[in-house]
This record gives sequence, structure tokens and C-alpha cells, in this order.
Amino acid sequence: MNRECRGDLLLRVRRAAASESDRLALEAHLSMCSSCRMTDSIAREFDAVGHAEVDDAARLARMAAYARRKIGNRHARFRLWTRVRLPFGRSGRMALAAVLFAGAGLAGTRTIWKLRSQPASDESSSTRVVVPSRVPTGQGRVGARSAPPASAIDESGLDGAGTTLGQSRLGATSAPAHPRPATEPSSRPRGPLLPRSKLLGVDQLFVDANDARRAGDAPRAIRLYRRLQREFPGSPQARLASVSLGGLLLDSGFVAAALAQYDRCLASPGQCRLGAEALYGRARALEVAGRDAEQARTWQRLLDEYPRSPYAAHARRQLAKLR
Amino acid sequence: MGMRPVVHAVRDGRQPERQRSDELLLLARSAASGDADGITTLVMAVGGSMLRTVRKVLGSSHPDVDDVTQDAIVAMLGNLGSFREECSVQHFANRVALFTALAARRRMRVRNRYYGGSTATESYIDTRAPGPFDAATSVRWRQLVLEVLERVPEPIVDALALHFVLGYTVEEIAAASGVPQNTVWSRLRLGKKALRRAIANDLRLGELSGRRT
Repeated sequence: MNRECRGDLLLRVRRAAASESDRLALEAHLSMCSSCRMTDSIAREFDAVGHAEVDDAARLARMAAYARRKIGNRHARFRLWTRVRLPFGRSGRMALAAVLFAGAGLAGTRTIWKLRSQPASDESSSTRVVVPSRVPTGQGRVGARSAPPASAIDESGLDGAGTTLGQSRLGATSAPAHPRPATEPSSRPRGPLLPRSKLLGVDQLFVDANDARRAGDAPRAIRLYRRLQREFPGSPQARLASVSLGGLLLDSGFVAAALAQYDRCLASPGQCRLGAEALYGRARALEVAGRDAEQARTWQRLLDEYPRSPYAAHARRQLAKLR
Repeated sequence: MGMRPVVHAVRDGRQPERQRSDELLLLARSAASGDADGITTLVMAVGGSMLRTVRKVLGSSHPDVDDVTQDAIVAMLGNLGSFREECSVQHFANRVALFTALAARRRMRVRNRYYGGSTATESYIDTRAPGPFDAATSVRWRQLVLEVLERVPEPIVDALALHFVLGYTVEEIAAASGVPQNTVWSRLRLGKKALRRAIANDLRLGELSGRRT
């Protein structure tokens, strides 16, 4: 790109601020300058997708409300922190800080020490469980971590049926189902610690997410459902999660994301056991989005595919209203 | 884009080096101080442009457009404290949206590579294109530029993305990045060189362009 280039003309045209003579000058320039021709082609492609949509104002209003709440909370916390007045002088504050640091250091050291010393104490009765093969094969270092600490598994690794969590459905192909967990000789060298999230199986994650949803903790439930979908994308729980997640996203005002979740469930017919619920949620989301034609089609599909579902009466009412 | 506690953007008595007629500046200061109405008005004023910027990077029908824009808006409001007022508020907001969207795209690509998710950015084509070949070519052009942006060094990404995606002039890029204009010229030159090389080596784009013409 050289400075003699009429790049300014290109930008004026791109910003719709060019006169007719500018356009003619640009056309003449483009026939000679390959650099500007390339810029022009690329700019057109990007501008073509960066258009405004009809419901942008409603989206922005929702986003503004969320941002106001979030930033407002942060300010409130900041103000609270600056208003805290300690009842002693500078040296007292220094001493308090030193005590806090020392305490934190001791607690950290104790935790690390405890984690490191645990296998030695559990060596005699250690029960090693092969972690479900969720870790992607492309990750060399992480993939090598196949043996989690026994203590961590003892806490969360077993379900009622005696199989390892996450192995019951997902990892069933990689390990046979035993009445008791597969054991390994305790003399085997212990691998590095796995992050706790990897130890939580798909079942536990699903249960936690459902609990959070029932407790009304929508952000945590959304986080857990998303993690479930990310870490166990092919599992039946991930398909079921998309319906619950869709509902939560819809209630939080993220209509497009909710629609994507419902579509994800509906994209696998026969595999998603919550088809009626997914169609119901999809229609609700389309209603919020104001897409009436699609909404009517979805209600009709619900009636056609699940005529005896509890949502059928509601679907008929909605269809009548739309007509 | 780190989240910090918002502090006042107005540095006591210190004026920016270049006075700009930016009608959003007072609004930005008000929003930076945590004023709820200021935040709402600012988001309504600059949010549309941020939303369009995110669409340019992810594609207009990508399901995460809203979420990423939301993140960008929160990041923009959270970073108003560090806004040096050397460029306009609108440019600042667009820049935050652009880099938030690029980071989100990178995350999605990594996630898809390992977990095989269904939200590949490339699959969201522009449904308003006149025909399937135009749509495919358009996707490939944008994809190519975004791939080059992932390969080149960060300062060049800054200049190239602001120039191609947002259509900033060299002066505007220099003001937004806080570097001399000559530096921006050099970075653009290097970036365009990398882009030209990528275009020349891209068989798929060549094939699509050939079929379109």
C-alpha cells in the first residue's frame, strides 16, 4: 500500500459519504491499483454481513439492562470497599495484612501437603478408577493423565450402581461394567492431578445443573449445562440439557441462543426424548422474537407430532390466536 | 480485556492532547462513573454498531452473536476507566467489540477442534447473498482474512482488522492504537502482503471465484 493510493476515496464510498465524482474517480483508480481492489473486495464481503436487523433495538435494550445491573453491582462493591474504615492505624493495618498473608500461605501449604501425602496413607486400600475417556485425544499432555487420585474419586467417582460416574453411559465402551470399580495395583506410579471438573462425570454434572436450575440459580445452571455440552457433546444428557438450557436462556432474554439450543435437540429426531418440550420451548422463543409465521409452524408441528402431549391444548389456543 | 473496578475516566484537570468533537464523551464519562441512565443511553448509542461489528466477524446468523455482543458491551463499560480519549467513543466501542468477537471466534475454533461442537463459525453463511456461490465465496473471503488475522503478529492484527473489518482510516487507526501514522502504514503494508500471499495460495477461493465469474 503506498501513500499515493486513493484509499480515502474507498473509505468515503464505504461510509456512503462519497459524491458522484468521487465514485467515478474511485472506479478509475481501482482499475489501476490492485491493493485498493483487494481492499474493496474484502470490505464489501464484511459490510454485506454487518447489517442491522429489525429487532436490534429490543436486543440492545435487553443488553443495556443487563450491563446496567452488572456494572451497578460492581460499583456498589467498589464503593463498599472504599468505605470500609479499620479501627486502627497504619501499623495495625500492616500487621493485619501480614497475618492474613501468613494465614493464606499456611492454608495453601497445608492443602498442597494434604493432597501430596494422601496416596501414601491410602496406598493399602487405594481404589483406582479409570477416568472416563472424555479427554480429547489431541491433547497429549492432558491425555496422559489417566489415573486420578483415589481420594478425589472416593468423593465423587461412584454412583449408586457401583460404576464410575461418567462411565456409566459415556465410557461404557472403554471399560467393562463391573459390580465394583476396576482396581489397579497400588504400586503403579501416580499420575499428575486432574482438574476436578474432569473428575465430575456426565451424570454428576447433569444432576448439579438440574439442582442449580431447581434452586433458581440460573447463571450457575447455564454454566453447568454449557460445560456438560462442551465436555460430553455426544451424550444423551447433553441432548436433554439443551431443552433445559434453552428455557433458562429464554428466561434470561437470550432468544437466539435459546432457539439454537432447541434446534440442537430437534436436530436429532428419535434421540431427544424431550421433543415435545423442545417444540414448546421453540415456539415460545419464536413468540418472544416476534416471528409469527415460524411460531405457527412450530405449534402445528407440535400438534402433528405430539397430539396427546400436555402442550397440545396450549398449542391449539396459540394457533387460533395467530390465525 | 481485563475487568477492573470502574474508576472515573476524567483524569483530574488533564485534557486529552487532541480535542475532538465527540458528543458521546460526556455520556461515556457519566457511564464510567456508574450512572445507570448514562450506561443505558451509551449502550443504545454505540451498541448497534458493536452488534454489527460482531456480526461481521462471526457471521450474521451465528447463534452466539448476542452473547458475544453482550460480553463486548460489558467489557467496553468496564474499560471506560482506561479510555484515553484519543479516539472517539464510538471507535473505542467498535474496537472492543471487534477484539471481543475475534477472541470468541478463536475460542470457538479451539473448542470445535477438540470437542467437535456444532457452532463452527464457517457454517453460518449470509443468507442474503444472491446465490449459493456468492454466499460460499463471501464466506471464504471473510474466513481467509480472519485466518490471516490469527497468524500475523498482534500489532499487525490491530491495524489490519480495524482497516478491513471496520473500515478505519490510517489516522483513525493511529489514534485508536496510540501509534504514529507511519507505523500504521508499515503494519498495513505487511498485513496486506500476508493477505495477498494467503489469497494466492488459497485453492478453494480460486475455485469459487472462478465459478462465480
